[in-house]
Amino acid sequence: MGLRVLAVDDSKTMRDMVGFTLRNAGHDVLEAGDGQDALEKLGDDCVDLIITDVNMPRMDGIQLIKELRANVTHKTTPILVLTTESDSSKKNEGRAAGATGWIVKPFSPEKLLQVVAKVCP
Amino acid sequence: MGETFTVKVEQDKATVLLLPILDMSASDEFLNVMRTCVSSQNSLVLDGEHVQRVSTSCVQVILGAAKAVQDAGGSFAIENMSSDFERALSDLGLSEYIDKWSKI
Repeated sequence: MGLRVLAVDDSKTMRDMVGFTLRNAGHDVLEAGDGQDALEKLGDDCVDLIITDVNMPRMDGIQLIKELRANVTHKTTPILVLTTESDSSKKNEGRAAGATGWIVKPFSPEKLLQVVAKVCP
Repeated sequence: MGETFTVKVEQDKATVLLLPILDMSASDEFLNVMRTCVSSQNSLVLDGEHVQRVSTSCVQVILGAAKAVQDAGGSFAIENMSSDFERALSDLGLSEYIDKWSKI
């Protein structure tokens, strides 16, 4: 059965690529353009997985994770962080904020599906 | 208005001449071009001769296009890969793909 996934990235291309890969694998994908947009779209609605970029306008991915972890609805939802190699220092920050794992951009579609399967078995 | 991609179609193969600067501002159009090619052609070739700079999002588009073509039973390749393009892919940890995509 497919997962309900929220993809958060200020790059429409990256959202499209994440969405394309996951939809082809049978998942339902919602999209948000930054952390603030993600919180507004989610509210107290449940999703199975959140995939977020780090550097975004209005609210970045680290702050988004903190906000989500402070909400009982999203406290245990798996959150994957999309980082670039140059953002590697953000991995620890993301983990401290409550991220479940990360994916380094650019990623192969196979890699994305592997990581999703690992955090949402 | 920026440069646009040139696509040459022969039989069931599309060859896309990549722009010198594949930055974030080019990624949306690049994705649209790739989608059109993937949905209409069996084989996809990217000509990377003029590439000087490539963004992560454009590399992401290439990775997605390659998988889509291969999943559909077609072939994907990059020809005339410039040294800047090759270096960028290598810096992003994609050296294994350079070999794979260079074999036509």
